[in-house]
Amino acid sequence: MTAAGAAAKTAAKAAGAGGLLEVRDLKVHFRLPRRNLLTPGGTVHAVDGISCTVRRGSTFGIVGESGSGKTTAALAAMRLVPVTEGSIKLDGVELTTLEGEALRRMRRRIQIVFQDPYSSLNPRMRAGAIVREPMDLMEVGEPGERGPRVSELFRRVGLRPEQAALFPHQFSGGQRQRIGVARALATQPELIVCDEPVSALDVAIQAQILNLLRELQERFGLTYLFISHDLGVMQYICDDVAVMYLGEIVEQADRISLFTLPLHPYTWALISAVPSARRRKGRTAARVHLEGDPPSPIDPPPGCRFAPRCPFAVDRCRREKPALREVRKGHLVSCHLVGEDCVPPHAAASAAAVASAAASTIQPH
Amino acid sequence: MDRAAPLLEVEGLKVEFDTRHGVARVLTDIGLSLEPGETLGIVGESGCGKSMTALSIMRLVPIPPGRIGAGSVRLKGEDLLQASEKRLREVRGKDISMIFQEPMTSLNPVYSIGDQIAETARLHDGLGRRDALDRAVEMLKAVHIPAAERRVREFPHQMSGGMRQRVMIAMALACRPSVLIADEPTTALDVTVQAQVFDLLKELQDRTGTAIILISHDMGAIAEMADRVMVMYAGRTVEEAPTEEILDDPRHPYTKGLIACVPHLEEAPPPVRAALTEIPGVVPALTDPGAGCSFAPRCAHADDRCRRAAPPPRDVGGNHRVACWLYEGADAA
Repeated sequence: MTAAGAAAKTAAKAAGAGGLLEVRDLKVHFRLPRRNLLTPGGTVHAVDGISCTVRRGSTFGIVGESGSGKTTAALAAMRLVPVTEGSIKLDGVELTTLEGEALRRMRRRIQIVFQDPYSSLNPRMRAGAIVREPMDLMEVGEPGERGPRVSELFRRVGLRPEQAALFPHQFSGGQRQRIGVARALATQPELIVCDEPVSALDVAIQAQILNLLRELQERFGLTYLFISHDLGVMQYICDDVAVMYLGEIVEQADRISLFTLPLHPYTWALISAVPSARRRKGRTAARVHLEGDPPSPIDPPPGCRFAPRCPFAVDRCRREKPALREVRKGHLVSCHLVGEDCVPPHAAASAAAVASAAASTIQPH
Repeated sequence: MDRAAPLLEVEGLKVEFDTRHGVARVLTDIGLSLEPGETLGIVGESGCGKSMTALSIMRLVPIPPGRIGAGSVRLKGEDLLQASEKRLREVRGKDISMIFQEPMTSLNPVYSIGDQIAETARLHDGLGRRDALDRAVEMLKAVHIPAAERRVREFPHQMSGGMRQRVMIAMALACRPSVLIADEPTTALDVTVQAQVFDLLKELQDRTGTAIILISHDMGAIAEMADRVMVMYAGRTVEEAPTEEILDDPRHPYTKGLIACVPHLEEAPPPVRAALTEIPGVVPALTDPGAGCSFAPRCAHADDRCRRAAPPPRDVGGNHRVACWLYEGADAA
């Protein structure tokens, strides 16, 4: 590690346990247009009251299906979508009320890496100009220093400085994502939002980008807000994970707790739905089957939003909304069925399934 | 094993494309065989020839710029590469059908889904309009679409992605094909919906005995669905084996890399995370393959010989074939 890197890490540590990003009761609602003169349009509850703390120097993951609001939540943290309600603090500074120049200055501290390295780079700009642009726009450093810094950034992300003269189409998908990462690093941000940064890449290239992100985090003490639907990637890259369903966080914990002891039936269903090359034996039997598609976030049902798809739902779930509460140290879940003893509703079901799987393997085919 | 008459047998398939940069050798000496009720997984990065193999089996390779240089594709003994266009139209959708990655774009937006499913049944089974619509309803029920009688009149835009993929499957299976080619059928879907689609495919396969060729870049999906796996790289088959065998004992450095580079979901994640195994570099251009093993530039084990000559596939025992010089002395007795 370089001296600068060590300093960054120490600084990160000195800032203490406090979160770099504090989100409280964040809501992002969108009004839909009237369907006709008499019928008012609904409201999309894209993000509906989420709270979380992203620790400095850590990676905080938000996982969920499409439409769960994970991307909207991240964009709200950058003030790229209008915030309906709630508070977002970066390093103690309230972001939701910032305007004009102050907002612009704040954005220097939060940058984003997008999902699709093909559509997120301007095809008519040279790679070097793409990486330099945020520095020019946000007036980072002296103009004369920016050229050398572009070269430095290219080296940092594993590209050659002379490649700065090329256009995006002359790079492979993985290299383009490296340009995206270099651009995000250009303003020396503290927080980088990574919105599905590897899902558009080939599996062999994903590993290169994930390794690069971890190495850069180590070196510069970066904080990541990482959005993905891929649980394998989440488990690998994140320190803390929040599971979102229809605009709400249904479970949140550190990576070890969440994956070792998933408490919410939805988390468990997500985990068991992932086909894996490693845990294939006896697993299909233990899988929970979620019927149907994720319902729409337009005018969501009262009670627990997962209840219509939950195999364990009881009357109370459909009537009464469960609160997100801490059931073990640092492990939050919103489910009526998780008791004080931390036994999730699927534990009994999966024990039975494992038993039946064991029984069925004894039988000859 | 009775290898006398496989359902589908591809041998020595060679496909080339004329491009501005010269001739691209898209497929080189591809062979595969498929038995009824069996699922063959084809895995590899983009540009390795997975989809092109599927298109060649259906003879849907655009000619020109493409051309099928050599080989045979025999369905129940009949060589489709020699068949007339008329005969092929009978085969496609009836004996072999295909589902694609994008359920959003592979349905026609201006026809009801009932009409689209019924079309196949009318063309191939000669059903009348009413009977064909009945068949469509029956197929929608088979793929577990609720309220099939009502849904059959709906249009693609009224359905979610998972529903549309079910419609695609219903359409593909409407004439009870003996071979179903599924090209990345779940890549655009959420994991919970992907699990539903896989369960559906397995259920329908159990019921009808359809053989499936599943194309995917996801080893997890392959592990769940396939009986046998074929790993493709740069238009060649580099390894082929039963699924358990290839996952437990991958031989080719590319296969090993493909398995190791994915962060697998563990039931008990290790507290300390090692860096992921990378496969350095990218898939080579197919226009200039050179003489040696096409994986050599990315391979940690490559030596002079790898760069000089392409390794032939060899049997390493247990129905396991691998094309790599590392296993030269490992021929099965």
